[in-house]
Amino acid sequence: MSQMNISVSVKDAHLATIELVSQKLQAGGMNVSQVLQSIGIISGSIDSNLMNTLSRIEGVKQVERERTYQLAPPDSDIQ
Amino acid sequence: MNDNLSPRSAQTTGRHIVLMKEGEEAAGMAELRAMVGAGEIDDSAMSRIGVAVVSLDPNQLHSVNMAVADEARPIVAIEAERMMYAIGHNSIDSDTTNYLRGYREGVNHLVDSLIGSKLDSQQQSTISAFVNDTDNTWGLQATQVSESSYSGGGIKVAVLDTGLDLTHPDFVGRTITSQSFISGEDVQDLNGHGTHCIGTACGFQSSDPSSPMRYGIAYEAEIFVGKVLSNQGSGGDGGILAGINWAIDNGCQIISMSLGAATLPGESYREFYEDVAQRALRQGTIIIAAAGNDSQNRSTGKRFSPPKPVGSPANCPSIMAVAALDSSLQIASFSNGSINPQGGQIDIAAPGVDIYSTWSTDAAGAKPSRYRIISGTSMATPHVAGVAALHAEATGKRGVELWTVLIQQAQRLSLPSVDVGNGLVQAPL
Repeated sequence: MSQMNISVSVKDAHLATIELVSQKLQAGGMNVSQVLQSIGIISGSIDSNLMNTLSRIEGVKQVERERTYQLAPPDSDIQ
Repeated sequence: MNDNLSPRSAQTTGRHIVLMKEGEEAAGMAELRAMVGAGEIDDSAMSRIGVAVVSLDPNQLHSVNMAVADEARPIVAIEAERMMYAIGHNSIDSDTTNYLRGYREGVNHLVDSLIGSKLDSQQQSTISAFVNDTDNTWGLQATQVSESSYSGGGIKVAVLDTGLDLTHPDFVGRTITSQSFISGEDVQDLNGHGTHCIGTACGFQSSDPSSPMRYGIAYEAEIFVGKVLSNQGSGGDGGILAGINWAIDNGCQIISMSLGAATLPGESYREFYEDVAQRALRQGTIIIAAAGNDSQNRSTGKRFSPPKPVGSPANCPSIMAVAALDSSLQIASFSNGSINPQGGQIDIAAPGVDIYSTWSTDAAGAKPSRYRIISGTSMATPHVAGVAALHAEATGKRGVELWTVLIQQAQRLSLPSVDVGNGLVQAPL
């Protein structure tokens, strides 16, 4: 059981009821850390084995694993 | 007698063109007829342009020259009629072509040396390099920011990066709203990257007495500092998305993101970022992001051919992807290009080589300093964000309409659009 950070995008038709989608995601095993109303994203973490089940929840458009970004070292000439 | 007026000159027809004084055409024609005889004169152009064409023997030519020399008389000029050729190469032999080319070059050289090159300023700007001068960085000159009357007043610009050096003297007195989305770190920038980007987008003028030039663009914009990258320069989607949401909720018209991850040829954009960008545009917020710096061959210093694809999330169709130019307005060796379809293209280009801006006096990984010169699409991106703020102020346009203004106003360059998109971003004057 490994937890992974994810971002869930919510379908346009469900933006007004994004809190409801968030509750369903939590019921599906997701630890919701933030509901980002203006951009229609719910972020948090979930057991990697359960990730694929979230996309079947009503109002969910897409479930994405978190990617990290890394700048060049600060002493680099190209950033 | 002038040899150029000889009827046997190789480049002439043997006839002459005689010009009459304006308003005295009839008197001029009468004089000419008296010298030549009416049968030798073609006066078909007389009524419109005051010119007659005549065949003259040497004595007649002498008489007409004498008339021209007397300013009181109505004939003012005489010239040998020249051979005219249809434009094209077939009617002129190669010796003549070479002669004419040499003649043209000689005349051009002479004219240039006397009155300067006749190239217009745009052509010149693509040839000669910009340099930081005592008033402005090269980037502000190339983008017309140095000539702009706009300051970004009334516009809110969010820079999502490593934070800001809040103690930097150049930002004293500015309206700054900040939030950290990195757990355990406050907004204070211990990296330097964020302070450099904010300096370009929203700073103003160096307080360093040894180089007091202006480096910043939207110097009266309200600054929103979203720390979504740690002091080590790393961050995840969660913080970036939270930062975008925060900027929209605060009414920022512009979000600058000098961050991204490399993509592979054939890789598509991440759909949820596209959803986010579209929702941002609908709410009047434009997201501008760095195309990425993966295209330099480190062993040769030259650009890969083809270059590496635009990184994520700049590869989303609704996020404006920014390429970097050097001070000769050539593509920077590291700047990524349009390789992938479906949004993976460069939209616009901006100064991104040897960019002077603020640095963090608290920087840990690089020597702390107030200013630093560095390169990257990270440096090009806040040039576009700052200029976008000036256009937002000047036009009142937001979202997709502001995007259109930036693209329309860009200066077209003699470079492939796959490298520079619609060209060099330009500020409103």
